[in-house]
Amino acid sequence: MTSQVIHARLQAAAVAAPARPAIVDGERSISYGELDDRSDELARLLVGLGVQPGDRVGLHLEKSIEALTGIYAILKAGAAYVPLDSDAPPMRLGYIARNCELRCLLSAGDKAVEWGPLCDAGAPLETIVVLDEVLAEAASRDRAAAPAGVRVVSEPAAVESPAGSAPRAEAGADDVAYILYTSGSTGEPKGVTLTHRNALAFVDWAVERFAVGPQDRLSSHAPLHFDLSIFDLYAAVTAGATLVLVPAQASVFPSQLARFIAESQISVWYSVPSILTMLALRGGLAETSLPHLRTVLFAGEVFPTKHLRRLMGLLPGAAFVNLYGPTETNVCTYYEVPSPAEDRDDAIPIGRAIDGVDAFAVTDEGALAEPGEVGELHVGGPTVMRGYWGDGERSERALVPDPRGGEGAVYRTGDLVVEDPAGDFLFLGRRDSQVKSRGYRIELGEIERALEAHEAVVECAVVAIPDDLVTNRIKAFVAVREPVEGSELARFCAQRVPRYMVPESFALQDALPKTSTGKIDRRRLAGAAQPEPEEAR
Amino acid sequence: MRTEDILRAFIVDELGFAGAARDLTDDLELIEAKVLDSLGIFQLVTYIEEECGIEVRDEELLPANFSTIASLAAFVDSKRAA
Repeated sequence: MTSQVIHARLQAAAVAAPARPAIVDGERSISYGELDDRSDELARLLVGLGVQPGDRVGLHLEKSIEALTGIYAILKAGAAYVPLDSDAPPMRLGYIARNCELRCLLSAGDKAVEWGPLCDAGAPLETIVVLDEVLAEAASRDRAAAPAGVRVVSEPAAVESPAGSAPRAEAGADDVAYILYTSGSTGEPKGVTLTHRNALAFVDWAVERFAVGPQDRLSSHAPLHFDLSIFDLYAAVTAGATLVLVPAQASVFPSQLARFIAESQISVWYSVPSILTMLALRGGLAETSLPHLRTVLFAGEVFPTKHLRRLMGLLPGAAFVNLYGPTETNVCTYYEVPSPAEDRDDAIPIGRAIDGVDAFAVTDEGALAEPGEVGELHVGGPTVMRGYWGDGERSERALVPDPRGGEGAVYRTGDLVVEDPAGDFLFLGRRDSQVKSRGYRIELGEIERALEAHEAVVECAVVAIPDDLVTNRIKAFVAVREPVEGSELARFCAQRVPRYMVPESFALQDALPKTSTGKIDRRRLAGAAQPEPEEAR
Repeated sequence: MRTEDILRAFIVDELGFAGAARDLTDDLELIEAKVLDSLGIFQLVTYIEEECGIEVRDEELLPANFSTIASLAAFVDSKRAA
């Protein structure tokens, strides 16, 4: 039987093909054998530093060979990893660190300037392990970088730690492997807590369904704090394939990205649709541009059908698959887009449940929705999260008893769906004020809570304006008691929420329009914010 | 208005630049400083095509033309002159 802990997949790949490249990171690469050895060493160091099974360890460095070595080391030490968005403000990261009690952090020397603010924001750090050699020297030269009471350890010290057998794999399939923080409507992010089994139930299905093999080269485009990374990392390691890290710089300019995909010989690509839309519109692609690319997976938001069709026309040799699932459920449904694409513009379905997962819609009355009837999608099975870290109440609201009377809890997605005659689910919208932008999940309420903390703000409403490229643009309407610049509010927001949640524009006014019941009239504001109809490119 | 100022105004007003307009100098490395990401570039291209009446070809969408406000303005002005 295949092992149900993530790091055992690395050990298996290292035994099967130690010399095969596991990760390509720019000019550098690392083999499976080396990745296994180095993460063993680092795991021993972590255990020596007091990391216990069940602990949470933060990852605070750019996606790199070092970061991925760190992930496997944390898992081998029996702990769970918590990827921190390096672009998020210290205040938010401080909350996350307090929420899941991060005492140990894996970081890099160039992040040293951020350690102080992180500790000032309340992160209960005791140890920071610096994973890059060059900068570790700088860090040891300049101990001033270490916040008071925090010990900074350079990874090269791992070499001096007593070598020995691999650290004992303490973790079991139902232990927590990682926590991913997503936007929360109350103003604080929530920690989606997932086990080894949760991840691998999806990964194993995907490896089989998409026939991922050792010859494949998978893209790693999404950041580690984004759940698309779960497929990238663990489908690659399970199949013994090579993972190609896509540098942030390469994906900024579409034609450069196309060249990167071609030169890296990527065969399986996975990202949010907006990147693929840019590739379709501005990538300079011709039908023969990407001969190695055989499978294009996308998730996180709706792919506008006209752009999808254009990309499929430019990449006739590739299969396209829409994957769906909130972070709480991993990927839980999929839809293989028929080729050639039909000439229609309505949204493609999110499809049907992956093997072993149960996806069904429940009406407002609590009955199972019939095909054609609108309901809220519920998901049960091995991919569903354990809960929100440290928030039993919210977990109980999200993970409910099976309304059909079945065993085990099911996750209420908040997504409204309808089943089409072919048996595929269509996504219709949200029950609440959660929106997507660039594939990121955003609770508009979290942005409003952040803005309300500004002394000039009387009240505010943040609205999402539908957009063809990024799904939604975020605009803020703010009633102020004293003059304030929009850029000042943007700066204030950026200290509290990640960049992708900072509104693009701020409309300042004396008061916000109200409905007859005295609530802010969001519908009217959203209507007022609609741009003039434009010629579609 | 100088092309530089038109571009600066767009970045501040429409791309959610979270700093003061004066920090957005002509020589600031827009991508390194994370002022522009892939989608920001995309919006910017659409804007300059409409606003400045030029067409940006796929192969012109490169760091050399888009790294700073100065390089962007030079690119736009040269396209206009052509």
